[in-house]
Amino acid sequence: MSNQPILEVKGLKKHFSVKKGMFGAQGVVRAVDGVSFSVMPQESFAVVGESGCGKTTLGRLILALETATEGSVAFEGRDLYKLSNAELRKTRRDLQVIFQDPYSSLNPRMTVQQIIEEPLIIHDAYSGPGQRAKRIDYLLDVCGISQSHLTRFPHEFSGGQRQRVGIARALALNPKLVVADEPVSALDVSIQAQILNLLKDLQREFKLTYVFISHDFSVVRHLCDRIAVMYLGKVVELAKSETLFDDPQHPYTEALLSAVPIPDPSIEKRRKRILLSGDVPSPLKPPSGCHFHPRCRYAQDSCRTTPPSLEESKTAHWTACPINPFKEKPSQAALIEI
Amino acid sequence: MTLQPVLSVKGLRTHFFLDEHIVRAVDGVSYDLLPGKTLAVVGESGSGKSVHALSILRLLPEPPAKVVAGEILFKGKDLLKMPAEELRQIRGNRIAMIFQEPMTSLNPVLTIGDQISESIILHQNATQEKAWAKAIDLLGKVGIPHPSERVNDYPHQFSGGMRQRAMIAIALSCEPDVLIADEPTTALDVTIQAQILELMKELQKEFHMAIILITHNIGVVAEMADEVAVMYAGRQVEYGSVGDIFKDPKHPYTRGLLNSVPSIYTRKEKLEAIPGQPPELNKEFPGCPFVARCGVAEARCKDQDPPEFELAAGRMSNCWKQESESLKTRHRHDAGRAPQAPVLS
Repeated sequence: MSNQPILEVKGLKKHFSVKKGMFGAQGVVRAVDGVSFSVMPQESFAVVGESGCGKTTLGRLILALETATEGSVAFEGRDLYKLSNAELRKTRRDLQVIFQDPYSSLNPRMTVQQIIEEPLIIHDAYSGPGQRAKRIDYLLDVCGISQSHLTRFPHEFSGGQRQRVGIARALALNPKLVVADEPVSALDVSIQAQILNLLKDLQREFKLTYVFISHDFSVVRHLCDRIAVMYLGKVVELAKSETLFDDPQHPYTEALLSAVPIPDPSIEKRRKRILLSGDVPSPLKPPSGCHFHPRCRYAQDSCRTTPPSLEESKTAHWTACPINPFKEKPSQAALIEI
Repeated sequence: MTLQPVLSVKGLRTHFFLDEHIVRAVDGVSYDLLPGKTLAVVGESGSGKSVHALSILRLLPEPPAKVVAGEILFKGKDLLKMPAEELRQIRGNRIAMIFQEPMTSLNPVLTIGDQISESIILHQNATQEKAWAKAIDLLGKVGIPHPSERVNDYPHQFSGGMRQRAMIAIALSCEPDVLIADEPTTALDVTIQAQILELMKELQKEFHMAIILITHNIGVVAEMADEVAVMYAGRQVEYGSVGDIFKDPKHPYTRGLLNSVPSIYTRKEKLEAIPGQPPELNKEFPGCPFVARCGVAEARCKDQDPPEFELAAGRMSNCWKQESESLKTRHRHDAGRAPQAPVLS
C-alpha cells in the first residue's frame, strides 16, 4: 500500500439556497459544511449518518457530480474541480458509483448486456475485436450473474440480481475508487449478505477503494476500515472501525450505537438504551454552537455558543466534542461485554 | 391462572386469484397470541407476512384476494365468518393497525386532531368535544410536545417520527386488545426507531395490549418479541419463544437468516449468506419451499411437504429433520391446533 492518499477531501462545503414561501427570504441549507478527510488506496472508508445529514451530497461531491461551494476534492493528487471537462471525463473512468435503489438506477429499456456495455462504449475501452464480449463475460462471472440473463431486461430480476448488474456496470471500466451509496439498504437480509460478501470479494479482485455511504452501522462494521460519523453536514467523529465501536468518543455516536438493535435477545434484555429526545433539527435552522447540543445529555453552556472543531482526541481518533465526556468513563454503548 | 389467547390464527391460507395463475401469498400460518405479549412475524419481502396481517382484519380487496382456508378467532369468535357490520365494531376498535409509511396512511387534508377523534367518535359514541380532548391527551401520551397546539397541525407539518407517533395515537384511541404493527419503524432513522419501539413497549404495558409485530429486522425482533413466527414463501416454517429461536433455531431457513445478519458487536470475515432467492409463489411446490436453497435437504424434501412438527409446547418447526424429535404432527393447512394455550387444570 502506498502512503499517498487516493482521495483527499479538504474543507468541503456545499450550500443549497432555498426559498421559504412564495415571497419569502432566501434560506441556506448547509448540506455539507466543512468536511475534511483522506482515504488511502484499497481502504474502505464509511460515511455514516441519519437521513439529511449530508452523506449523499458528500458522495456526489466526491464524484464531481455537484460543484462544491468551497473546498477541494483531490483524486490521486489532482483537484477534480480544477480539471477541464475533457480531463474530468477521463478521470471518471476511475471513479464509479453504486446506487441505493437497483429499481430506479437501471434503464428499464436496456438489456443487461447493453447496461454493462454502455460505459465501455462511452469511454471506448476494450475496443479490440472480441475484447468487449470477453470483458462482459468476466464481469458476469465475478458478479455472479448468469450468461442467460444478458438479453433480459431489469424488470425481470429481483432486487439482489439488479444490484449485481449495477455493480458489474460500475466495475466495467476497472475503476480505482467506488462510491457506494447505501448499496444494500433496499435488499432483504439474506440477499444483503450475498451482496456484502460480493463487495468484499470484488475489493480484493479489483484492488478497489470504497467510500461507503450508509445509515446502517452493522453493515459498515462488517465492511469498512474507517468510519466518519456525520451530523447536520459536519463530521463529528472519525476513527478506525474497531475503535469507533469499542470506544466511541462523541455523544452522538454513543446514542447512535446504542439505538441499533442487536440481533440477540439475551444482549437486548441487558442493554440500557440511550434515547435521544426529539428529531434531527431542520438543516435550514441548525442550532447554534455544536449542532447536537439540544439533544445531547452532556451539553454544557459553552456548547450552545462555540462550534466545536474536529480534534484528535486519541491517536488516529478524531472527535468534535470539547467536553470529552468519555475520557475517564467509557460510554454506555461500549459497556456490554459479549 | 391460565391465559386464554386473545387471538388465534389457525391454518390461514390467503390466495390471490389472478388471470393467469394463483399466487399463494399466505399458505399455512397458525399461532396463538396471548394478552399483553408480543409476537413477531419475521420474513423477507414476499414471504406473506403483511398479507397475513391484512387477512386478519379482512382488509384485502376480494377479488383478487381470497382467504381459502383457516380460522381467525378473536376472543373465540371467527373474524372470517363474521358479518361485515360486526367486524367493523372490532376493526380499529378492538384490533388496531399501524403501517410502515406514516405519510401515506394519514389523510393529508385533515388535521391530526380530526383523524384521532374520528375513530373515538365512531367507536365510543363520544361527542366532538370529548373526542378532541382525548385526542390531545393521546398526543401527549405518545410524546408529542405541546399537544394542545400540535393537534391542529396537518400531517405534512409533522416529521416522520411524529407521524408514526400520531398513527400510534389513532391506533390506541380505543384502547385495543390487539395492535398489529406492520413494519412500524422501517421508514425511520435508528434514533427515531429506538424512540418509537420504546414508546410501543411502554404503551403495551399501560394498556395491556397484545402486539403482532411484522418486521424483517432481526434486531427489532430480538428487542421486542416474546414469541416469533418465521415465514418463508407464504408458509410459517418455525415458531417459538424469542430465546429458543435465537439460541437454537431448528429450521435451516431460520438458521440462515440469523447467520446472514451483520451485528455491530462482531465482525465476521464473511457473512453466511443464503444462496439463491425465494421461489415464485405462483407455482405449487409439492415439497418444502426452501429446498433449492437448503444446505441439508434430503431426497424427500423435494416432493414431500414437511408438516408442522411440535417439538415442545409452543415450539414448532416445519422441517423433515425434526421428524424424530416430534411430539405431535399436523399438516400446516389444518385448523384447530392450540399450541401454547394450556388446558385449564
